[in-house]
Amino acid sequence: MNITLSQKKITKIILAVALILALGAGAYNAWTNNLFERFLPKQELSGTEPALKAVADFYAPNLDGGYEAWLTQVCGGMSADGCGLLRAMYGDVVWKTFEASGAKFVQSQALMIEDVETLKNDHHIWKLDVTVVSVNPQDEQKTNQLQTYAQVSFDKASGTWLLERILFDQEIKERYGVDMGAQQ
Amino acid sequence: MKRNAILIALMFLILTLLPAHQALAQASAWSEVVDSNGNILYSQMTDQGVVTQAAAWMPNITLPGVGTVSVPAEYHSYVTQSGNTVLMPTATTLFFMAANANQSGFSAAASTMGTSGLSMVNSNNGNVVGIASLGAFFGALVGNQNIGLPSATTATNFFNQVLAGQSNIWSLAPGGLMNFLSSLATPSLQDGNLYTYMLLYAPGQCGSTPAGCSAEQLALIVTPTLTPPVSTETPPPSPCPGASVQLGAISASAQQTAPAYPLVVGQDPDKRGVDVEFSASVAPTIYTYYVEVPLYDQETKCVNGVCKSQQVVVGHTCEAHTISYPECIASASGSLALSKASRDWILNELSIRYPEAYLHHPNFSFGGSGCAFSASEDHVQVADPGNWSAHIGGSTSGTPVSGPRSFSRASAFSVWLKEIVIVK
Repeated sequence: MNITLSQKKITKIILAVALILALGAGAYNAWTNNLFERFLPKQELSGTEPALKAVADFYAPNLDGGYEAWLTQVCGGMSADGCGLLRAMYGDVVWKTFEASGAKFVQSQALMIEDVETLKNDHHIWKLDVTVVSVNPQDEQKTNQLQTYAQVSFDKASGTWLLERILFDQEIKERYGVDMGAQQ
Repeated sequence: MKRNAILIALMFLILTLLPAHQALAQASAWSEVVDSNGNILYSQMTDQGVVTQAAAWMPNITLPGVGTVSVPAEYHSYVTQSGNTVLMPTATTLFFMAANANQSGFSAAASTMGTSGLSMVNSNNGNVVGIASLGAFFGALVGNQNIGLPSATTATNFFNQVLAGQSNIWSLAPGGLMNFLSSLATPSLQDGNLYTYMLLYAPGQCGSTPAGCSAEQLALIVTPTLTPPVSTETPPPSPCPGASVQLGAISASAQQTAPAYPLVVGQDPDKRGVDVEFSASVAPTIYTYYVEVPLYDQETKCVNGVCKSQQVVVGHTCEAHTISYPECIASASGSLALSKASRDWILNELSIRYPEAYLHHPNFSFGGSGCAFSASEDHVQVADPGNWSAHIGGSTSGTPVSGPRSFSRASAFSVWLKEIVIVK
């Protein structure tokens, strides 16, 4: 059986195959680099209050209440792992720094600006805007703002987001190119 | 079915590989720390207790309006009988030490030994052949290049081989492992920390370890170890000059780097502040000694027609030898201080025009770390106008032929205040 193809038809077939291959390669590249995600509608996160409250409580301790009371308050919106890390690793030094500042923290608020990324263990990284109102030893009231990043996880049982930890300055600089010291 | 078989094979492989005990051992250095049964010899070491250290390589958290807080590095420190320092970093500290191996001094350790999960790792400077000769030991300390998993050979008796000075060895569940783990648990329970690893530093490095130098270590450092043995006989006068020590130059600087004309932050809507840098390092100390080398000549003697040649000493020459001893910055700190004249000006003169004028924050201090110390801070919020001094001070660790030295450097810069004068 002979199949006769015109030169024009052969050109069309080659072009079609090339186009399919190019589209396929582009789609594969987009899929492997999660480029489709940016075109998908962002899911509105609900149940963020516990994690945000933990962040706000972390940055504005009631110094009169004592260290343990502060830990209990912050841990109320943290996962068990996150709370364990806070207690074992950096809670003590952060508390002592707050105490040494001589400031009295009167109000704080944490707002999520962006759900930045999802980690392999399904934890999320949020970019946060933190506002802290404090009174310094000279009785001057000051409002300080800070943008930072926090690792959070979704607790299926309660349907809420819990704070794992606030990222360290070095991680933020390395991962997102933000120099936290410049905000001070 | 096939997938299950692959999974089981993988799990077996992981379980087999996990308890890998590795060693890059050094002869007698570890024999003061651990015995052949894996027991850590706490009773034979001086316990320096738990020491903490502010370290730039540990994680920081910025607190709004308060500043940056750094999680301190924490260790349990011991000193062996021959003056080596053994540091046991907490699990957290070890993690960040390994992540910043050069900055944290992890790479500078002469030798390391410990467990990583169920595995055990022991490594040291491959150039070090033994601690018997302190000179050779220090001379070889030019930076540990072999930290990490060694290209190992299996140890049949791990701790005996460590004590015998074998290097690059590892072992699966060696005899004495439980003793070793139990020994590690002793300070872990006592301090409430988890210790899994030991870093060994030579006496000359004690100044750069967080516990500093004990009196015994300092005595060891300032006593030159290359002094020839004392002899009761009067030695013939040597034609060679005596040994000399050329101290390594200390380079240190403290300076404000930007901006050119800083404004007090109270008047600056951008709150720019000032950027400052502090650095200090010390060049190696050079020890030069001379060895008398005889000069020979051929002498021929003939007796009864029989000639005999022999070499005779006709003189001496001196051969110079040098040993380079690296030295670290043991401790240093940077600071900014408003000059006394400027303080007086704010409190006396400026307060006449601005009745509320007071000193906001006339002093700042900055920590740092490293054998070559460096610290920098951007956007330091200087709120007081006037002449400031950037200062760095500290001390070096010393070497086997020279004691620790202190140093101090300073530079000045101005912080400006915008003043408005209304002329009627």
